[in-house]
Amino acid sequence: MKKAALVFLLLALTLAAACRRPYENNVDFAMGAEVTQKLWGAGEETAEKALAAIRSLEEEISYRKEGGAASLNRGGELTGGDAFDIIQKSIELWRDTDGAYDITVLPIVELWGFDTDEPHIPGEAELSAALEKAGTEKIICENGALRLTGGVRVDLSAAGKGAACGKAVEIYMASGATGGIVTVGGSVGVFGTKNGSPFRVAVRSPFDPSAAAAVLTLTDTYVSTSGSYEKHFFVSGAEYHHLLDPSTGYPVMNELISVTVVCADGALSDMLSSACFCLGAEKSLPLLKKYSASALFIKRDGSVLVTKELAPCVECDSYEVLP
Amino acid sequence: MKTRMFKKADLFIAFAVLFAALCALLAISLAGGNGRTAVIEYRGETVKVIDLDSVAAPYTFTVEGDLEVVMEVSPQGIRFAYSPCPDKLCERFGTLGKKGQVAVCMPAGISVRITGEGEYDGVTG
Repeated sequence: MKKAALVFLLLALTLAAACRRPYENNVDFAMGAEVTQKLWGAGEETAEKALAAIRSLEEEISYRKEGGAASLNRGGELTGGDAFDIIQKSIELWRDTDGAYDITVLPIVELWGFDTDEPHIPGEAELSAALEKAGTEKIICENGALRLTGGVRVDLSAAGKGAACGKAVEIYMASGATGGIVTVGGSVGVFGTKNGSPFRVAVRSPFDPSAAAAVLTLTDTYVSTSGSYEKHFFVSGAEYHHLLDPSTGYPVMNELISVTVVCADGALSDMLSSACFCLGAEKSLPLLKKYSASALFIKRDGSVLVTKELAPCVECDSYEVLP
Repeated sequence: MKTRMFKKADLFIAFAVLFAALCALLAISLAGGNGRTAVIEYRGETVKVIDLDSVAAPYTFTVEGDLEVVMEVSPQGIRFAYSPCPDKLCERFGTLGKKGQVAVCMPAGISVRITGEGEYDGVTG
């Protein structure tokens, strides 16, 4: 009888731990987006630390704040820190994509006004002038220090939300949490498991924001999506969206409407989703391979393409597996 | 001498395992949630999407439409807390918490509906 009681006690203790609901928080804002967190084996203190880390990162990398990126844009130098690291990664990705990923297109983005209430098509002359002010080749790295030349300015927002997820997950790992999921806008970071199960991350449908185009089953990774449907406007039936081709200054026009990238690095997942959108599915494959990343592409006709590495994790009505 | 197939202790363990299984089912159910999402739209364009199963405590936010309305979100659901519209019909819808429920403030052009395409932990895109 004593043995049975012991077994019961052990089971009860184990299940008491397993039955605990996660700590949940979804009312915070940072990086210009809603931040949601769910934690298993940790609670409010960890979530608050993660949010503080995200806000600190925002201060450092947002050109609108007063940290490293803003200082660089005002003529200063950077020798380390998060902004430095992201710019270094961005320069490498700019080379890898033959300029399709470029963090210096801020003057062009501002012309289009996608972050304003009245986005519009810029004039040819002002667009040409803005293109002259862009170009990652104007970022100089000498003696371990970054500085800008030719009036260029950097905008790290294409990496920010993914990098923010990375900061949160670092905090989760240090806290001893057994699992956690953080979303910052369209980027998601997953750590560990939820009571032993992997996380299920929905890829929002570009055609119905309340529906999922696919569901990914994931652990210990990051997911980011770039889609032309996020910020766009129509003129005479033609669509103009915020994902700009750095070589022309106009929105990228290809067969894609959305690209979702899964990668072990949060910032890179975000950066690669933008880069792959610009490159198109076929040209993205070598790039994804270099960074050990995988992707799900949604085309304008609604069809879905998935890299073979990601295919085992995908739930979707129908999709084609890329070689 | 007649021998019993089960001792009292064996039965106790069997009940403990049954209890464990029930607890595990409960845990999975709680972790998975109900998959309820509130979609707030202005003139058919989605302006905000909220995972209602992740809401830990009530909070309010405003939505800019033709009029500015205040929405309240709670673990139970979402409701029009205040609208400057003349008829206040939207406020009378009460709290929406079940999949398929819809409430509209016509003068503001704002609607909210509860959807639930499946159970997932996060959304990208």
